[in-house]
Amino acid sequence: MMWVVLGVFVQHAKRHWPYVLLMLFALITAGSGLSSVLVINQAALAALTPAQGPAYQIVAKPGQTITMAHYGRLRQQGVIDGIAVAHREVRIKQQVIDVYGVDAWPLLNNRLQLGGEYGSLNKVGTGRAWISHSAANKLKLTPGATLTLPDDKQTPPLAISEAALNPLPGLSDNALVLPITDYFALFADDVVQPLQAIFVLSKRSPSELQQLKAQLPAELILQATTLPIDSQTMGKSFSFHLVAMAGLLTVVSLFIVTNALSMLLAFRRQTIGHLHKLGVAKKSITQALCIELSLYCVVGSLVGVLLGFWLITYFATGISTNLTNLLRAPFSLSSISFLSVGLLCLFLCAVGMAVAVVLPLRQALQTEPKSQASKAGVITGARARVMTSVVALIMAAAIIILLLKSKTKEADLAALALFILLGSLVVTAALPGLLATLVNPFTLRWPLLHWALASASGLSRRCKLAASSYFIALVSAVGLSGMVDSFRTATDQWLQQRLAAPAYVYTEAPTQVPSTDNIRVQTRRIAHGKINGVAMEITELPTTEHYQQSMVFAQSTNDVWRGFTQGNGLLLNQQFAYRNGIGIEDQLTLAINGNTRPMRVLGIYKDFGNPNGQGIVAPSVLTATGPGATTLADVVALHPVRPVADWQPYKTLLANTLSDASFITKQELIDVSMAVFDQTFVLTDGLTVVALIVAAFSFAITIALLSQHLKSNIQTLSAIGINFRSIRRAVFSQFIVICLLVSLLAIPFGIGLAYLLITTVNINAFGWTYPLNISPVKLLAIVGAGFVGLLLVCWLAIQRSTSHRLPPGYSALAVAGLLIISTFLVGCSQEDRAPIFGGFNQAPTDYVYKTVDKANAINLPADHAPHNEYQLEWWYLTSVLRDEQQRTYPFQYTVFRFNQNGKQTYMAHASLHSPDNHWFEQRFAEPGLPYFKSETQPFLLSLDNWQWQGAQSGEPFPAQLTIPFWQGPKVSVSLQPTGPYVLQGEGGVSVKSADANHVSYYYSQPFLSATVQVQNESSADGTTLGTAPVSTTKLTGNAWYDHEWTSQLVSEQVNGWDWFSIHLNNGDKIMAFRLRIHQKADFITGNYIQSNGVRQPLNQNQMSLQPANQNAVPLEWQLAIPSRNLSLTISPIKQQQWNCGLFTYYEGGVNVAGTHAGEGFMELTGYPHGDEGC
Amino acid sequence: MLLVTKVSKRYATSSAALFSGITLKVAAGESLAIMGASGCGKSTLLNIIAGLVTSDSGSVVIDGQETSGLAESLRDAFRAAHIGMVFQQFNLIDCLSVVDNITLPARYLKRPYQQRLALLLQSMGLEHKQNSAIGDLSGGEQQRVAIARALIHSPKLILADEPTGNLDEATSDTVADCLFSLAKSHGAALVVVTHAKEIAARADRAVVIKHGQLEPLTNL
Repeated sequence: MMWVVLGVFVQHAKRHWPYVLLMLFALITAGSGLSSVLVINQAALAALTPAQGPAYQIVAKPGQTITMAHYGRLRQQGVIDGIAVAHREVRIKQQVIDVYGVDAWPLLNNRLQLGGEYGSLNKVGTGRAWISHSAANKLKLTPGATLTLPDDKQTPPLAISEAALNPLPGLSDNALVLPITDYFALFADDVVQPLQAIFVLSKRSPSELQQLKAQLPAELILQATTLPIDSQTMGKSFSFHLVAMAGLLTVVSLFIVTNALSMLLAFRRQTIGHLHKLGVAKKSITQALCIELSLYCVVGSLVGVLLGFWLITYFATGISTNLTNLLRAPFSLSSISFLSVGLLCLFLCAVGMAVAVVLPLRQALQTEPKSQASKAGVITGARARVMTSVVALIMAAAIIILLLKSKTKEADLAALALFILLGSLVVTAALPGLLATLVNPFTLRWPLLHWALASASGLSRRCKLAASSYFIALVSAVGLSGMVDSFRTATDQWLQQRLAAPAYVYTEAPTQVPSTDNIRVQTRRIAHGKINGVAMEITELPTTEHYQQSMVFAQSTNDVWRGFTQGNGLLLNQQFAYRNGIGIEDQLTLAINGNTRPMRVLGIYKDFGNPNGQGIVAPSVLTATGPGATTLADVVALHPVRPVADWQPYKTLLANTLSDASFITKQELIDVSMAVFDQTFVLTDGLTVVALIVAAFSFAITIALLSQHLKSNIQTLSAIGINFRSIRRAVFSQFIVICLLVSLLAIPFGIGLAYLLITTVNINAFGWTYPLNISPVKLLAIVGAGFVGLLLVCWLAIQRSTSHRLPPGYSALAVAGLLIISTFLVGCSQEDRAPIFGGFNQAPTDYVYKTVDKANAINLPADHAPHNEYQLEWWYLTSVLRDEQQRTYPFQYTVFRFNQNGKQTYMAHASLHSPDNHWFEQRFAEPGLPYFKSETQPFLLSLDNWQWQGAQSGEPFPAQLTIPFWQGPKVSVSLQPTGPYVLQGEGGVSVKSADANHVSYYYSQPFLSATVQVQNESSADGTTLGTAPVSTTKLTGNAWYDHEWTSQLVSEQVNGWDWFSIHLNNGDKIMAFRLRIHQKADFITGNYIQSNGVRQPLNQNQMSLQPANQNAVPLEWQLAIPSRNLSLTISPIKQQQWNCGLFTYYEGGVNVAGTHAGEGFMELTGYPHGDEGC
Repeated sequence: MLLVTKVSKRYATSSAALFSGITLKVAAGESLAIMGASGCGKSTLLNIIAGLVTSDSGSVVIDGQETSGLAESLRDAFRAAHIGMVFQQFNLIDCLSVVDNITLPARYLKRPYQQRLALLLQSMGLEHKQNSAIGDLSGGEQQRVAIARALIHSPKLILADEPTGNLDEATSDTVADCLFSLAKSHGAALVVVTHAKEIAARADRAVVIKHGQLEPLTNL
């Protein structure tokens, strides 16, 4: 029976598909809005979480020095998660800056679990500099600016890459970070290349730790790091906002989902009633409905979540830029748990469905005839009003109790949530009544308006849920915005008053700040003491009238300054007084350096932005505690006797006197502080707007959809003779009235919310409060923007509502569809190409790369060595290995060299496949670093603990390769040549395009025999090779070596290439290559190499190479050489052979069948779906 | 008062004629019943007369004004001023009270209505229900409200589409009494589309639409 009922519902859905689509659209809107906000929240919160600093640091013992040589040896011993950090203070633009040299290359190794902001250092590795926000402010630098440093050295200008990131763990907030090679080039006089420390990023087990300690030379020690992270008060406030936003949109989404589903049920009510009257069991109806709605929920939420993820991914760059530039918080999608976000959205849909189904279904299945009175809504309305009043009173009581009795942030948040819900309840209950009061004899003069108002009253009853979600979003927007505005105004006023001097100097030598005839220097002392046993910072305040006026009191005694000057009392900041329950006139015990004295609380002052407790005493109090008890603060106030028009002479004097002094005027200090303030709340404002848009859209759709009920009214009005235009205006006017009333009602609740946030949550969360101060303009902007948005959708929706062609909902659907399609079109307009070597993009410069010259053939063995003048080069080894059971193990080891405008960078890739596992890792280095070696006599290529050791003769073969994976086995490869080197192309010049613009030097050694040992003991993650827990596996097989260099291969026009090396069972070898050039025909080239080394170069007329299917990433290929009666089918040994590194490509073993059998390797680059499987 | 001349209408979805060449005439104070099988086009003809639907050919003249050639907005205005309509489903606006429903056309036309309202309420027996909600009324009462609404602005032509179709026999009689007597007493022409012979018998004349043609009906 249930299936029959379900069939009826499906038919109903098919017949009324636009409503189903609209309902789905609402679900998708909620899902995408929620998921995108949650994703941004997660990423932003992760960014705000103190960055995961290094787990350990290796430093020198007292009297010893740690150097780059130590670093190189440790990396070669396998400590590849260590990064070298060097440091010195440098004077730049007359400011003292902490200049760091950091070896950022190890940070590119994606196998390291790098935390938080360390990832941002990757950018340093590309030859630019990174600067902290604070240092950038000091130097007045913006991203992209150039800088010459230090002042006394003539160095090329340095491009600044980032100017606004949080302080890195372990580095000061005043940091300019350079690649360590640049750093030592700059300070080349320091020949030993001393380091501050080697940071070790990864946690280690006790045994691993012991092993690491054993590796250290006697002069070094390993320390666990607990590097201090500055408290970020603004960050706390910001993260509080983020959590509030997530909660808000969750509630809004829940309302939207419930509303959408209950609307669908409302449309079904008649059908359900009919079915029930026909004798269909309630159970069957309920089951069928649940199945149908569940389907909608799953589809809607999944599509919504995917859309949300897509939007976030699409806009990730923009979001990241905003977060990093505005909020000093790097944004990384990798820190997000997409699964948990998706599951939360699904759960929300399920809850929404449960709420939506239970109540309306009971009404629909009501068998008792409605009484006349209830039909008219009299008794029902009265009962509902009583119930609403009771619930509202209970909620109000709960709010008051929570606010009065609780002192925790969580209780405050619960009270606020209840407050918003109470508002929602009151509004939805009051809205129909309010509208009904507008239907009075006065409005009878305008019959259409009269009808519209009367109709709006009924309409408002039916769109309660959607109105609630919009109301909540608007109240929250007004409340949060009101709180931020108030905080901003209070902070600005506080700064204006508190900064008593017109200028300040920051220095570590405050006593040496020069004074002049006109300028008096006011230093300040600080002591770390205890008040009633609670540790806090005690500072002194000069007792002059000028400083007295600078204090902004929340509370104070009448004789505050008399008692203060006499040293009988102190002043406390709000946060300390609140946290410790201290009030004015309380008697306290002040302890500094063992001296204790009773003190009276004379005043409680405002101290915004300071997370810590602070007390202020008269200078005499600190003096009495003894000279050793106090330290001078690093800020010195400058008080001119006469007003100063030009500070430049004093700044010059200051610069000549102190090397580290930093001068700043009061206004500059205020400007910087307020700029940081404004930047902090940009994102939360954005998220508020998203919540508002989502809720407004849902509300507008609901109104438009529900206006279907007006159809008979419209018909009647039309029959009376009222024209469609007038009716349309009347319908629109009722939308206006509903939206306007909800918007207006949200204002007082929003202001109330702001007040509660300031007076309760702020106190419990931060310990301070400030006056409510909402900008009317901003208030109007928020309410007005939401209102206009609502009306826009409503207007579009009713455009056809009075026509005979389409009901109102269809237009809303069309609008929604257009929005989605246009969004996708914008997304799809991007070029669908994956960049090759995308991690090494570089700005164009005047640097000229050497190009391939056909006249100069390859000259071996000299050409085994690197060719630094060329842009790109690789030494490339591939081998299909087999164990004793003849199972295949494709292995690849490649060393790449990149020339970036003259700067050489090396990257090595190692990949080993077993039947069950795949290990892939990458290493980076550059010449000059102690863990990189490139030598020719004998041949040696070494990065970290990966080594390619060739023969004494300078030949790369015979060779011994040692490749220990960081998280995998140790691979030792012995390679013996069994045939000659083979030049590709003509004399080793390989032409790769028809116009010969793409060309390289290229030779191979296809005749290599490999013997490999794979040891499992170095596996850090517990994985083993194959299924048996063996410690060593022996493998053998053929190997193929390529060495290629060029400056004419990678360009904007090259989409990618497909490369094959094939070992035929008869001993012959084939190299096949296809270059895919944008908007040009593919170019195919190859080489057939007989077992005796005789080669036959092949062009595209002599050889065909084509994908066997139309898959986006072609893994099956057809290769034919007609002149040799050769036709091969090439298929991968394993489907999943992606190498997921700095750039991603497909590389792995292949089986060869057809006229000849064999095996080989395949490399596919530049495919747009190359991230699949990564 | 009403002159329909050679009016034709085809089905919207095919080229077949619903009816063709229909001509009829109704004088002021006269009543005409239109009968016919379901789907023969009775209601369509009524809607053409009201100007809610346009005919494929022919003309409709009401009180000397040809309405078939008027623009939609002018047809609306003409309908508002000169025609009252009564529907089988009553088509009352449930968010308005009885009196607000009745007075709606007059208020729209900005015509005085108090005197006529009192008369109609009394005639219809609705004095004690004038401030009630529509949901509180019985079917018969609702239709009486609809009739009062159709007459409030003194139209010259009243068009009723199955006015008793949703009512029981006793209530139908009461409603029909009201409709016919009030139309006559107000001097309005009345065109009633109905299936009920009892209702048609109350009209001065009755016609039937058969095979797309109008035929006089005499044997009621």
